[in-house]
Amino acid sequence: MLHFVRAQAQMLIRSPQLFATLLVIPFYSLVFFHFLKSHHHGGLATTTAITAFLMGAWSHAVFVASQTVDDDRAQGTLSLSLLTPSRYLLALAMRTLLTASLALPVLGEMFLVGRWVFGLPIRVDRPGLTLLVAALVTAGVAATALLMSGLMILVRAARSLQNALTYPFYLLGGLILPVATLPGPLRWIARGFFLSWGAQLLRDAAAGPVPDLGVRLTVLCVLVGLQAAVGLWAVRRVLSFVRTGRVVLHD
Amino acid sequence: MAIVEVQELGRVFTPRRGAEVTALDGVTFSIGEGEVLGLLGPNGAGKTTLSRILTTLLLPTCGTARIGGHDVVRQSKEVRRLIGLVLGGDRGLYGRLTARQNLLYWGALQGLGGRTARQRTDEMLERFGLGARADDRVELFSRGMVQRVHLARALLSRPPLLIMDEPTNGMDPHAGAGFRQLVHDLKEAGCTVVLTTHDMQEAQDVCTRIALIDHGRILHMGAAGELLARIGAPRTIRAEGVCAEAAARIAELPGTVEVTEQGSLTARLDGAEAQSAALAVLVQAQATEIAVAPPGLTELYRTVITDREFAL
Repeated sequence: MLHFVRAQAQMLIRSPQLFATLLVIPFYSLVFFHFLKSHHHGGLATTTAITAFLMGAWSHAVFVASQTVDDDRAQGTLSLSLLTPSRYLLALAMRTLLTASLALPVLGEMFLVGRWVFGLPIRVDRPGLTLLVAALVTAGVAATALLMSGLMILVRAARSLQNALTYPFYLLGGLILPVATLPGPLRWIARGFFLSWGAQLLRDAAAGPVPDLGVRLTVLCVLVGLQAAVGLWAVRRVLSFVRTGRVVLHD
Repeated sequence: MAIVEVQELGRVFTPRRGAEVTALDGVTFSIGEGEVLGLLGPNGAGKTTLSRILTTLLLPTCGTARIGGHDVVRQSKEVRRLIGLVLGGDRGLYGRLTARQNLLYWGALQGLGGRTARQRTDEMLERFGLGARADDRVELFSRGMVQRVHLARALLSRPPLLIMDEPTNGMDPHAGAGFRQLVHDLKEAGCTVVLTTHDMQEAQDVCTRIALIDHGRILHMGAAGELLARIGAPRTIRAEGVCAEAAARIAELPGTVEVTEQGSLTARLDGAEAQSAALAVLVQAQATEIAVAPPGLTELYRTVITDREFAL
């Protein structure tokens, strides 16, 4: 497993464009925090930082981490990898997780910019729990990226759908509006979505004591696990289509 | 003992629109251990489809194929342990990784332990003369070097069967010669090789048997010498300074004749009688540099495979 992570890390280091999220979000944060400060809403700084991190992590997964399989196809390595499908799936999961985790430092960047550049009252009451939940959310978005990467092999036009896979999910994740304000059916969908649980837990962990922590962490773990299972199943299924000739790799 | 056994193997592709395409049509053959089988045929003949089925990358629509006694459909895991695949061209490696990193990654994919993978990687890098460039990125390599990394990758797991799909595509003559030596060495070591190529000289040099494939069927199969004797491909007559009148008289003989504006003639004529008649015309017309070459695989190929004039 370490070989897969190491190989992906070496590829990432030599692909600076993949670090775009890390570089761009701090610039956005300048705008966000400037607004907060000018309108005397400093109390919302922590929530803003968390939301920006979650949006960054999601978009990084959808636009960057999901490209892993498609990159393999473009390089002609996918066909050869299918000679070891089980280990390739493991390699793919590890590589996607590593790429998705590039968004993790964004959380720290946001806190630092808010506190040191703007002097806003950003505080995290339970840093350990915050880090754990951020890691779980990262695993969830990596699993989403896996699902997306399967879709990108199956449907050539999937790339043009990528944009459509951001804002609707920010809504479902409770990043733009509180989940409670969503219309009935959407509220139910949001309650089965790991991002909404992760977002609320992160906000609560920053604010102070977290009610029902055990139950909520368990639910988040289960939802992330389910997302991972669906992602892996989708990629495995798409790769099996390649063997039947239903999907052509053109490599 | 046969390491590859193929029985009535077929593959039909059904596109979403348009007619079905039969890529393989009831192919039957076997390959013994230590043999080098050359698959020759035009583009779209079914060679790559056959290679992909043998490597478990594609399912057949009918028939069976067994590698080392294991069925490629039902026992794909066992089959994959026995095969190495080499694809031609620049692609198939991670350009941003070094040769060593690529090999270590593929070693891990093949389930080799860390120490074994490192040991074999060093071994392969030395064997293929890549030691000095082992830590350079593959995207900086020449095509010949990329091909050597491909070969090293395929041999990492020491497979008894190597399937190579146009491995010398784009190699320079020295690299090609090195490749031929490698195939000889592999054969000596008991490795079985299935080689898809468009290079007739290469096939003649390294293959113990040749299969001529077209329209998804094996048209002829056997040792090169045996096929040449059986099919009776024509000798090639070449001459310089051939006048238009002499060229026209030779063109009337049965066979194919090509003449350039400068008077260079290449004729492949059917039967000894036509060949003698052509030689007589050339001598009479005082043509120069008259040469008669015995048929090789190129002539055999051109006799058996229909000329599609650039059509696929």
